[in-house]
Amino acid sequence: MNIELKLYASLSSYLPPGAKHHRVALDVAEGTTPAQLIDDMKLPKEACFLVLRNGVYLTPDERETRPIKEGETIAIWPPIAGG
Amino acid sequence: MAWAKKILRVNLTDGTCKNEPLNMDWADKYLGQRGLATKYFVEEVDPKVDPLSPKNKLIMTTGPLTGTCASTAGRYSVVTKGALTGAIACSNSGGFFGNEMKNAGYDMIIFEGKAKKPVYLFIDNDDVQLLDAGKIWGTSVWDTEDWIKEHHQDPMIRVASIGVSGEKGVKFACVVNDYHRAAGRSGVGTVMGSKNLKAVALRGTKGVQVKDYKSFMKAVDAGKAVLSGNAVTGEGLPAYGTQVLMNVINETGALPTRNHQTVQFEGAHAISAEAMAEPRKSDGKPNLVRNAACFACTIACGRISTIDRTHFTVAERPQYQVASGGLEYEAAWALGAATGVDDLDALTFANFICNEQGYDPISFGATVGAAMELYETGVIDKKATGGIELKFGNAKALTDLAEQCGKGEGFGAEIGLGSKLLCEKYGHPELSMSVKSQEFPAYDSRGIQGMGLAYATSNRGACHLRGYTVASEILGIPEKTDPLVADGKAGLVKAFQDATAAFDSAGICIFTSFAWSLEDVAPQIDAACEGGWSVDKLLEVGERVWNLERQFNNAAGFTAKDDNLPARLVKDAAKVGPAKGLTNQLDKMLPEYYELRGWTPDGVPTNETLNRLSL
Amino acid sequence: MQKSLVIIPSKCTGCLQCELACSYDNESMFNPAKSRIKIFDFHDKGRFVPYTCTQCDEAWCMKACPVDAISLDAATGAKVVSDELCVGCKVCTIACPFGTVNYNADTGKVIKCDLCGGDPECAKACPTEAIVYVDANWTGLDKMRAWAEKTDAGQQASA
Repeated sequence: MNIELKLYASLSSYLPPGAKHHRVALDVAEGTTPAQLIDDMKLPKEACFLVLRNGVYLTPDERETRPIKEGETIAIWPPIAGG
Repeated sequence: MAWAKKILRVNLTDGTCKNEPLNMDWADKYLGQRGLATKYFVEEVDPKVDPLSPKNKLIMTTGPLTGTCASTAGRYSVVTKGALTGAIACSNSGGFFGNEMKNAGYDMIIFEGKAKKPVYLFIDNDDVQLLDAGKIWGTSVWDTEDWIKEHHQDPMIRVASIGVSGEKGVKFACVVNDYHRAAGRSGVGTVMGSKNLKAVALRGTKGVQVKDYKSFMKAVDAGKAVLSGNAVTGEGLPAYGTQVLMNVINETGALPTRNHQTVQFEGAHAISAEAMAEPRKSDGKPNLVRNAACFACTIACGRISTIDRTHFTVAERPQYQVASGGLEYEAAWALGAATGVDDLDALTFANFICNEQGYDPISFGATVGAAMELYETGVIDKKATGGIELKFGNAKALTDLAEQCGKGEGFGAEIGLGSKLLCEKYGHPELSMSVKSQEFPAYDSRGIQGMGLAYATSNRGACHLRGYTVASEILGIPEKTDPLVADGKAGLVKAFQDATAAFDSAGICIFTSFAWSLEDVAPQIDAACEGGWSVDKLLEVGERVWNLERQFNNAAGFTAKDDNLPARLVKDAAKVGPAKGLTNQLDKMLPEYYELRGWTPDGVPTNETLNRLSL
Repeated sequence: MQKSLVIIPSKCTGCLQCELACSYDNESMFNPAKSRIKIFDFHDKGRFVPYTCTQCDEAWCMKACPVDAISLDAATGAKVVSDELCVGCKVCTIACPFGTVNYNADTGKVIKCDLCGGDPECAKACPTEAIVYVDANWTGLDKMRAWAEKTDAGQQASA
């Protein structure tokens, strides 16, 4: 199934080749959870602080239990702030 | 200790300067900077005063920690009645001016009246002089700073000044120090200009002392360790700066775009922190040169940037082909997403001009966005704009207006009215995205519900720095809350507002609060100052300051009706993103907020509340 | 082991914590104007550069002093000003090619870096390790390591 992954700030270096504007289309197995995606992409787990599904925050529990659906966007940031 | 315990009072009408002891009873109740200067201000100034009349006063103020080695302890604020808002104004700046003022021996400088001709105040410790500013009136902030250092043959002087925009009455002019640090909002620079005061130039070599050095160094070291060990203040902010927010806020559907017509900007990635770090085609160098710190700051979030030398804005103008203060998130949003411009170099150039000419990029960009909507809907045309094709996304229109606004010329002078007066002038007040006449910063309150309440109740008009619930609602600091619901936000907003007022009264930067709670701050203040400064005492100061500001605004004529948001945010639902279908639920949050504050349903502090806070 | 202060300008953010620490150690208050180390802000270039005394072996300041008020601290290698002996003639400030000895008009004496007796406060206060205190014989070690890491790196990867 096709999904989109976006990685920002210090996680940018984990983007695979072919990524543009910090986003990349991925083909992942049905039932993949965000936590599995983080493992598969070899992202440092502790740096995956903000995990958004279609812009909505996923709690650490939801990352483990809610499979990603076809066409969804997962966007991930390390701890950041500004203002 | 920590306080210099001395005030300088400058009467510009009479040309007199005299010292006064600091009122230490008030210092015990209001701590310093924002709180203490506001106390002085409300005691001395009629709330109904015209902000631009000589009867308005302007206070430059430090906090007790300013000038010490506590992390970020170089802050100062400018307190006055805002030219843009007509409300209490308090604009905070970093750089190196605040610490120099404290080292010269002053907690604050109170300016009264109006000089007969342009002057600048020169301070070399106890030597204080009002000097003729004839040679620098009409010049930029950058030229003013250079001229003063050359004229006094002292490169170590620190300068805070206004640009031509402040002289010409642009409503959102700033006071700028150290070339690109600004007391930015509410038109404090406009008030300074109305007093014919061009600049304040300082040398201070007296030093700053604290009460108990041993405890102080221990508390300060502990505080610094918390900042360096925290992923946000120790890694994120120094590496990416505030601009790292651009993609996050866009992704969460809370990036106000094209005058808040929508909440996501397709060009966000091109104007983000990530884009600032990418090598450009012409010379292989990125926009970002390096990060930089304000005085004593161990975070160092500041951006130093350059513009692509081949870019249309600077190709023929080598004076702008240098490194200077780069884009912060709020500025990048206003100059970019609010106007639909996704040209990073154009935004950086406009930002340079805002610094050089001394006006607020948030209000400027947001007002250009409003003018673009007026233009695209046919309300104004090229005749009104002086030939500028004022369409959303037009980078050249943005940079041309930036230069015009800086000089108070052409249609730029109309932009200088701010969005409220501009939109009223053309018969569409509903298009001004503002509260109490001050433009919103970079968060759409349909997608971050708490910010709607924070904006509506901010004592200086729409502002992110009076109660930054974005930290909790989006960034998970200190705890994650749901940005799309209104429940619980009244308490959250109040807690952020009170704590922020305490931070702002201490002399430190609010960015420390991404890692510090008042538990980290209290020991530093307590070791520096007499008075037994606990977390509870600081929170009480914060709440007291908030209510004091509110009382001033109420007396100035503001009512609960002014704790409001534009119809676009409470009637027109967001069209895309997570907040699709949502409006801001201000009507749900506001009554609860008044109750939590101990205010009447009309937004007036009850006698009981006033007594509880010793007001 | 004798140590030296090493300055790495590319790491400096211009925060002045070093100046605060120096003034606190020497003047018992926070007063960058009395610091023995200074940060220079080359604004148009976006560069911050800390600068202080490098403790020359054959120190011009020490040789120029007519009253022998500047002496060698054998343990640290620092050239130290004696306030008792200094007469404030300022000849050392002229002799120093780098400008790192300066006159303090408030006391009538000159001031310069004394390495804080072997535990420099500036280096401890620097939040970015732009000022470090390292083996005097190997001040280039970190630079050598950085370049060494690049040497043959391509061949290693392909081997």
